[in-house]
Amino acid sequence: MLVFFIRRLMQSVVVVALMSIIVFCGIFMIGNPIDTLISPEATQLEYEETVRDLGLDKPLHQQYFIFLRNVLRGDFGKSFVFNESAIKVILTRLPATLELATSALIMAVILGVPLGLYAGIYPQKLASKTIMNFSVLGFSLPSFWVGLMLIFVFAVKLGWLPASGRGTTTDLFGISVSFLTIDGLRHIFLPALNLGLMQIAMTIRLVKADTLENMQLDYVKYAKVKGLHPLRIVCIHVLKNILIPLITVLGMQYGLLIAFAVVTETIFAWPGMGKLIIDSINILDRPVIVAYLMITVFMFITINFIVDILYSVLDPRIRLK
Amino acid sequence: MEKVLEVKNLSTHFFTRRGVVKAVNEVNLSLYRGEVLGLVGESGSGKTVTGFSILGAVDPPGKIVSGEIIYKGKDILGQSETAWRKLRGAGIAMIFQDPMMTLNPVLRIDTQMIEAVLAHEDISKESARQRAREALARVGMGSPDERLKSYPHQFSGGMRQRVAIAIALLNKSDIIIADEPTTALDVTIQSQILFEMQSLLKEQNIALIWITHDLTVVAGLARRICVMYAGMIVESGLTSDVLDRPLNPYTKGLVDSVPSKNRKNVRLYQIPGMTPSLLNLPTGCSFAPRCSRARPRCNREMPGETISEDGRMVRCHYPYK
Amino acid sequence: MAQNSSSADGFAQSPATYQTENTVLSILKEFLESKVAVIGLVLLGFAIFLALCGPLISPQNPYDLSEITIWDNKLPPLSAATDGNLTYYLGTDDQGRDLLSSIIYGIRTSIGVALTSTLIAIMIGCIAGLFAAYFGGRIDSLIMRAVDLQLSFPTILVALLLLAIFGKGVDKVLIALIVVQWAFFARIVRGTALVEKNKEYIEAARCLGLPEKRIIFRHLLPNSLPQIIVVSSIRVASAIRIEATLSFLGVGMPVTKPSLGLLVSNGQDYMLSGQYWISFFPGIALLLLIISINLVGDRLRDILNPRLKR
Repeated sequence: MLVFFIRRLMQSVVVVALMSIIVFCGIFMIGNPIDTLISPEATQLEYEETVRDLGLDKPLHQQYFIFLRNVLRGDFGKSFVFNESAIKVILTRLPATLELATSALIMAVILGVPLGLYAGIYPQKLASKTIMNFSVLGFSLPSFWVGLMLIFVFAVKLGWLPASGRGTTTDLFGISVSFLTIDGLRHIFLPALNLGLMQIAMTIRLVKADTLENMQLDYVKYAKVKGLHPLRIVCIHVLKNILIPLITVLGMQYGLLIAFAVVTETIFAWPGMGKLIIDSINILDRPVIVAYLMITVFMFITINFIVDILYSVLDPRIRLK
Repeated sequence: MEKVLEVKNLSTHFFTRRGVVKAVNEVNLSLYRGEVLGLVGESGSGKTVTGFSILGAVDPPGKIVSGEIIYKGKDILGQSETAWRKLRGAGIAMIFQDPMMTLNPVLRIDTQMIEAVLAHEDISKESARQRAREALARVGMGSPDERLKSYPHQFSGGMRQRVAIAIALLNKSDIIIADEPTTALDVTIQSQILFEMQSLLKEQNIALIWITHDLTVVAGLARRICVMYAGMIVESGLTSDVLDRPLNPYTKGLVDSVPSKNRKNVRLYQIPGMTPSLLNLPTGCSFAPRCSRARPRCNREMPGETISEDGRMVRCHYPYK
Repeated sequence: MAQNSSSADGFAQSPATYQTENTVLSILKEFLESKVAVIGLVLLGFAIFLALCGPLISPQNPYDLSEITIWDNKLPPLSAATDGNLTYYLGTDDQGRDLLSSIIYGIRTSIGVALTSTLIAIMIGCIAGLFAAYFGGRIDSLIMRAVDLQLSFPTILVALLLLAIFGKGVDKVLIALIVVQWAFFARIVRGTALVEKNKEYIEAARCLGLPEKRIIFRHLLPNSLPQIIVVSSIRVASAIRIEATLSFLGVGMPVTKPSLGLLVSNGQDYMLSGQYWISFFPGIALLLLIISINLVGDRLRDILNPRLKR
């Protein structure tokens, strides 16, 4: 187990290193680093200072090491717009995005798992077929359009929920979160639903397929013949078997949620990383773009790594060799 | 001797898209308290479905279409699902062929044993655990506490089957239906398990229906045997009688095809032809196309059961004398 | 022996090619059995028809400034034009463009971009996958590492970042879409090719001294075809979606050649004041387009996937 852990860790490190090289090439070789990292409004003095700092006058491989050193220090340059460290700008918005992504994930589980279970146990019933057809809708619907429609129906026409923004935040261990207030929950509901829609559809499909497969297996028949109640058979025997692949898939999907949050945050004006990146692209705040790139890459690799480890921990067949 | 189970005229058919599969057809059998009954037949002869029918555990598209199942004097066939559940795993228990597939791989052994007890009796978890411990000791497993905390994949095939037997012994069953319990095991383990089961059953006066395709296995174990072919019982009686002096040509073919120490250098006998598809049974006797004694009447008319006074039954127009 | 290649390897025609030729009809038949899939097919056919004949049947060319009337802006559905010779069945947008026409042109763009990028991605992916499978060893490792790396990041993110770095434009959108899609095909093709490679007739073909290129393309490739078809349908739908999302976010198609995503984006600001149709109808069109492709693809997958056969 330990060997596996270390090997995965090494792999992740290699990938991060690789990505840093690709990013470096992208900025320093293909793109124009001067445009990318020095604000067009910088004074001559600042210009020269930055050139020296980044070593833009030095040979390429030295530039890479300076770049690497900066990255490890968390220094991606200053945002042109906010005039603060780019990393800081992103990190302050990270909690909002994570909150959104987590809420979407929770919705996906609460709605997706029971529906998928039902569809897997009774695949021929009309209700199940309807559920499956709706799931096709789930990942066919373009999420940005659904978001707009949700706002239109629930905010403009019905006025039940707010159309945009994040609700009142409270401090939890130094991070501001909004789900602890009613106002916060009201604000987070529609965006989370919007973001989670595709996730719900995928969860339903995955759970249904796994459940269907498991119901044919011998251990279900055996449990029945032992005289166990069908509810117990489904909720403990079958569920535990499908939970393991499900958790790992959801874990990997978490990264996707963070990525797609870009769209949801733009529509609902949710103050997270996603909205930041779009704004930055539009006004060409390049240090922020670069920082965002590195942070997301890092997050993804970390998520993949954790998911891999999680899988081997959860499955007793692997854990106890 | 008390009759603990009587099956009268049982028919279980499967209504598939390609037609009706008559898996079990007009089956009659009786089981006396404490005895071992061998149910012998090739794969596809309907023996497993018979076992499931007795427990009311036939899954759609299968359905018991006619007959009576009289358990301790009461016809249980029409009873409610709740009543069936009470019976399964308690009054009548079942052991399957491959314990790797029948024990749930992600649940611990104690979970799977305790739930079998708690499904039928309202006692404390600790008492149930104690019972599990005792059952494991009875089947000859050392360090039961350690075993209880393990997962199925940590055991060998023989140990897993012992666990299955232990589970069957948990609830003071009157009848155990064992479906090819030793087929998936090594030959040496096979005989061990056979021996142990024999003594256990004698101890507790449990009746056993041993389903198998292997005549040699039941020869030493069963007091009476039933031979099945294409969904019907073609011969039954005391084991010694049936094996020494088979009346039905199929039975004789089976007996003759078993390699024996007493017949060296003689080519092994093989019943010519193949078992018929249960979708498309021939009119008349199902074995007629392969039978050396067949005459025109055999192809027209299905033979009924002929029962002699010593309790032997044979289904054949022209049985051996 | 090797002069007339068609006769020399006549016997080695891969079994799967025989199969595909004979069963296209049976696939069609089985496809038509599902009503839902047929609906999808009809919708898709209609969309393709619109895409091809769009300019001919569209009531108006919304990008020809001479044809639009700015005074007719933000009119609700079924209004008449001020100069009387046109009915705006779906309303107009903020520039007075007929929404129905915009949608027809938009479908054209959406399908065009998605299809082109997917086709190119298929070509690149197939070559990569086939090479990886056939040559094995280091080449295989290298290609698969690239594939894995590519696939471990969400497509939307990669596309977004590519466009962020290289700027906007139709060509850049196409490149981004191709970059995020080739890996799916590479993986599928490599998988099926590996299975085929180990079969005897490939060994036989190699012993005959058939040129590698021939083995790869005439034998390994056809067996991957069913899988490619299934994955393509998913990928085209996905490409349409990604492009729509990118355009919506403002980093995709330019205003001169808008796709459905951009149309939806145009109408965003007017949602709050109740003029829902500007975003609503393009969205519906997009939705129907994606759903129809998914339905068709779902059905094809059920048919072509042997494991799921009941």
